[in-house]
Amino acid sequence: MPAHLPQLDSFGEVVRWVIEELGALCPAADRLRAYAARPDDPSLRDVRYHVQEAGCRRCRDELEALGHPQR
Amino acid sequence: MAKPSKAIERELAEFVAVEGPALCKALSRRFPSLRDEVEDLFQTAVEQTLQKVRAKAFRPRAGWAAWLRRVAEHRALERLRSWERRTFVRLAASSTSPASDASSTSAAAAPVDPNRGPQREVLEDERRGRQGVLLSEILKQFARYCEASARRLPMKEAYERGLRGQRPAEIAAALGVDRNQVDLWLKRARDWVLERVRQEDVDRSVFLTLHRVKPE
Repeated sequence: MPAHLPQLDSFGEVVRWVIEELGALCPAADRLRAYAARPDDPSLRDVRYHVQEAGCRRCRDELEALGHPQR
Repeated sequence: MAKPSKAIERELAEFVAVEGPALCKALSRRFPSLRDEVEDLFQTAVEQTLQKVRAKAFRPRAGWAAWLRRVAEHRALERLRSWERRTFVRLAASSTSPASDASSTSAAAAPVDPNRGPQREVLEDERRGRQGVLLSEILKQFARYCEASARRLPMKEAYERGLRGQRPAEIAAALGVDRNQVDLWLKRARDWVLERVRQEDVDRSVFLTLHRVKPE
């Protein structure tokens, strides 16, 4: 097993891992692009939570690639 | 006159020489579990792209960085999904074995059927091994389902907050709604996921872990 693949010992850990690293709850690409253009749009509230509060690495990298780096 | 693909190959090689290390670093950040394999993944992405360039004089419209990042991410996700599948089968097997650790799997252990004989156990193990759908796929389907209707977006947010460890009272405060509404959203989300779990024959213990209720 490669050194850094996680040893997930409970289903709870699997849940957290698939959300964090496989992006299981990431917004669809068009909604993330919409968020990049209109971060305060009320209809994108869930995206705002996912990016700003949950701090999804994948989405933050994606936004940076779109020219909208997140603080 | 040189083939157009030769010029594009040179362009790709120059790009990789200059920007390759930064792209690998970004991949390591994105997939910390695979940081020992990131260079291999990136190299595979470059080789696959080179094949396309040679075959069709391919040049991506979005630029080399975006293209190579996408291809490398696909390869990385394939690797991780394979790991997810193996982990899931291991956990499902251990959660129904008599030797399983009660403290780590008490909320996740699949209910044991006292009428299940040895042959049924073998069939169950084979079923788990054949399992085609992953937890990550079910959760993605749930996200797409919620995004299809504005009414369901608060449910998506509430469910994600719950999976990330927030209690219903905290979720209610964060969303500015009453607790009953959050309970209703979480129940609907769980029911949706459970139904999908049933349809896809994913081990029920996934559901039990996903929906372990935190004490208030």
